[in-house]
Amino acid sequence: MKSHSLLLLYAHFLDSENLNRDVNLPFALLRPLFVLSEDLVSKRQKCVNGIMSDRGRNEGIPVMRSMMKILKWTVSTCAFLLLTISILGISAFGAVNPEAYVNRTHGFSINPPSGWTVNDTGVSPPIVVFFYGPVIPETGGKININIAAGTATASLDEYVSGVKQWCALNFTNFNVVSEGHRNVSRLDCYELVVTWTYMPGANVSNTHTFNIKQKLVLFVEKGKAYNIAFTASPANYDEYLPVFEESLQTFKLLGPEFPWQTILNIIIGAIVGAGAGVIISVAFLIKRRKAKTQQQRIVSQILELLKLSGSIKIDDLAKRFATTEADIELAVIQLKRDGVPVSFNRETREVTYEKQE
Amino acid sequence: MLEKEEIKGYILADKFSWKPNIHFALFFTLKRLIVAKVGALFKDFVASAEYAKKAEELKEVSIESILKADKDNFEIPYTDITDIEIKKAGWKDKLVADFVTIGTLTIKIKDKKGQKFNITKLRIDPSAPSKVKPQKLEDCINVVRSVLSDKLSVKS
Repeated sequence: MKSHSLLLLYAHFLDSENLNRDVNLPFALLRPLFVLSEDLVSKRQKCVNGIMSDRGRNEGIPVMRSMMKILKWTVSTCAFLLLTISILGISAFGAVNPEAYVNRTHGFSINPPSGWTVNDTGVSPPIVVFFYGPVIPETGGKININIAAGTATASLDEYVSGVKQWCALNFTNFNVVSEGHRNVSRLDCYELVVTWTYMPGANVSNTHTFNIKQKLVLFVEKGKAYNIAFTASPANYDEYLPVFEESLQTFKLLGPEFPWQTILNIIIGAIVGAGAGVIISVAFLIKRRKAKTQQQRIVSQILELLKLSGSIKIDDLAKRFATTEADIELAVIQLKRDGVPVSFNRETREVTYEKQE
Repeated sequence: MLEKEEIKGYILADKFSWKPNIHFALFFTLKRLIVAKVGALFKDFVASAEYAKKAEELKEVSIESILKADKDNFEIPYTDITDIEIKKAGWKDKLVADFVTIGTLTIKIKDKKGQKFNITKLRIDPSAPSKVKPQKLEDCINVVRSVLSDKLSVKS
């Protein structure tokens, strides 16, 4: 049903009248092809008129030239489509720094501090990635940035409140040093600077007790909650804070991935469709020319026969030329238009050549 | 005597089917309707202008030759027609039948299955035979009204 309708639409757009009319976007994009078809239709019409009226015989359609023109238009239309889609794609979805850490699952990218190692495998949710920096001499651990992400079930204020409550319950000597709203890449965030004491538990290799200072940047966006945490010892915190802030400023939320595969499929489909359309048009062009040439041959042969016989039954002529009586009548009408003294009697159904004295 | 019948006017129409659409010219004389095939989509022509041109050519031909021109051609005497309805195409007709339909023409025939056609958009401009012009529904109604006014019903 759909393909049939598309064929009908294609035929509709080949109509010369419709070619001059504004069409909606998908067809407007392919308009150059249809305009070309109009050009061909017009040329064909000239050719047909030329054959039928014995005028403009030399205005025949140079098929090869037309085909080259069709190819040129097809290629330029596809190139135009490709360029437009590329420009739209880049502007709508944004370019990502090639050095950035990109997480498509949670839709963000961030540049890790230079020289830090990235680990996003084997991390425990909701943490999705760790950036590891230098070792803290006092603890043997590493200064790090970790990013946690998950589905948001609350507003930012409720999220912040929940984090504070959780930390107070789970961390020894938990203390909020400072807090407040801030912006990161135009996102409304909440910043918490906290300290707490690490206490070794059972099953933990590190047996030291040491203090931790953290900056947590929390925000809720598009149904997701994010927590970007910078962790250091109080002695190293200020030294590495600018490194964290520099990295934090590169944080970006990503749009959905640009659907290159879909676009590619559409382009291939359009090229195949346009190619098929071009082939069909050329085939019909050739068929039509052939039919018209045959019609012209019938016209001239009928005249020869009539000159010899004077009067012939129309059904005999139709049989002789393996065509219909209607086509013979049309040939007679054409001869009469060209000034040949022939007539068709509808009662006797005879075609007569009226010999002139 | 039938050969002297004059064609009072014609309507270009097609019949939608899974096979390629068959385009017809419905020639109205004073006594009967001649349904003449003018081509099939992708079998004979691609552009509607070609069907219109073929119909304009056939108009000049005798009715007997038109009827013999194709096995799909047939006649319906007006005495057999009980009702003829012309309806403006709605979006559903365009979607289901044909995007270039401007209306539908339904013929109810005595003791036989009726005929339904989609009225197409273009026809040849008689004043300029190389040009096409829109086929207007009002003109189609007038053609039918000139010969079958008592059986014609128009719906919008």
